[in-house]
Amino acid sequence: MIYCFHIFACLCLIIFQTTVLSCFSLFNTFYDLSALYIVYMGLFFSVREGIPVALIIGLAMDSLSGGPFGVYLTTYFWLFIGARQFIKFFSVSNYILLSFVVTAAVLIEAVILLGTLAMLEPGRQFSSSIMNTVAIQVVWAICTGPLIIKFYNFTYKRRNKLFNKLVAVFSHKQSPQINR
Amino acid sequence: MFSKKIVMIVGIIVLIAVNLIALSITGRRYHTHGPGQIAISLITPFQKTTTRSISFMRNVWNHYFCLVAAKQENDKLKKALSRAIEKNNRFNETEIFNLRLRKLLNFQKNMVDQTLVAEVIGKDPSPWFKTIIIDKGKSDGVERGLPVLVPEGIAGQVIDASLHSSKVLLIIDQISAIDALVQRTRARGIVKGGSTGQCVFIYALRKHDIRIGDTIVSSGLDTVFPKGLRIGQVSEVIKRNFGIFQEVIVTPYVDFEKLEEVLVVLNAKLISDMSDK
Repeated sequence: MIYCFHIFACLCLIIFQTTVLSCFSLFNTFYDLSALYIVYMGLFFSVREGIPVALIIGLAMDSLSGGPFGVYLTTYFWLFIGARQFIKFFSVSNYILLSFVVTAAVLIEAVILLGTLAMLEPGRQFSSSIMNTVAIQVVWAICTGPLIIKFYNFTYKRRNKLFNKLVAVFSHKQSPQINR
Repeated sequence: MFSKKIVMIVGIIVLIAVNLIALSITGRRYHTHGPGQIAISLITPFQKTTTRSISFMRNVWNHYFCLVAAKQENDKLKKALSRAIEKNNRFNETEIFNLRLRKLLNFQKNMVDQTLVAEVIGKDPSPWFKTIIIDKGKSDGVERGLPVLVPEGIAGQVIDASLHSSKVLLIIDQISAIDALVQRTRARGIVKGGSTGQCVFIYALRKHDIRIGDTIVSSGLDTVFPKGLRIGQVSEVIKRNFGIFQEVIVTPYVDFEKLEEVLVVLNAKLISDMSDK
């Protein structure tokens, strides 16, 4: 059930990013929302829950994107590992630290994607516009990243409450029948 | 024997090495198989629904809330239409003349009847790659390698087709390449995607006369794009003191930010073969 929720949330994010966000030229260079979700999973969930979700979403992104196959799988896997290592040393309740984590995630993703492209396509040219794109992504990440992570957490907690209520309602309905 | 720290470092190094090897093997291909196809099939229907809802809302906004601007535009369009009708008459005459000549030359078939209109339902999630998802797939006859056009010119090429949707690599992506000609001088070269949303015309010899404003068209020699399709306009020519080639920057005719519908040419190979003959 928990896996389904996370995968569903990530698929919604992918659809939102590829259809709604792409309509607005302002968000042309917005950072990857699914990567942020993977970081959120690394910060707040266990490896058992996070790794399968990271791999499935990486696969989905690889299928939709025009990049070399496997590049998102790699990125999400290492982002998750990085986030897990980060919480061993720091607490993420701090807003500034959260901004730092999100910015680092955006930079790591850019480095892995561009590094993979440089490795697989030696003829590819990298112009100064890449630096602009990364800089804009970082600014977006600093401004909105922590808020989006808080929103993910809020949605997850709401889902938990709703789920617990539903379970309580069902068990309440079923228990008299069992007694009989 | 070994401390926990060393085992962990060695583990991470091995993991990175395995990851790099796996990436260098899988990264050579740009199309998906098995689970990837399932992921596309799962996501594209939702993309289609969302895109249609957005265009519906945009249409409502454009048709009902912008009527003041529409009135002014209507007047302008009426004038433009009357000019276009007059121009169209002249083109009709030319077309009939052209048809007669084609018959004389025994040309067999035209490409117009074998195209499929597809709707753009999603764009690449990353700003580093330039691809789009369209709502037509294998069930509609779309295959990998087919050219994708819009009335303004070449948009790209199908690189992956699932049952009901396909992935199109745009000509502004850096891995895209089209064999092309300068329309005026017939100088040959290859149009590749640039790094700033433009294209570059490479392998054009220095001796060829290429000027700003020249139109670049497909040559048909790559057997993917039929001959004579418009690609873009030369916006910059750089001739250095060394080297045998000149650097030519091409601005595509297609506005990739506003792509909504595209045409997939289903009989492109047939046309290429015919033009070769």
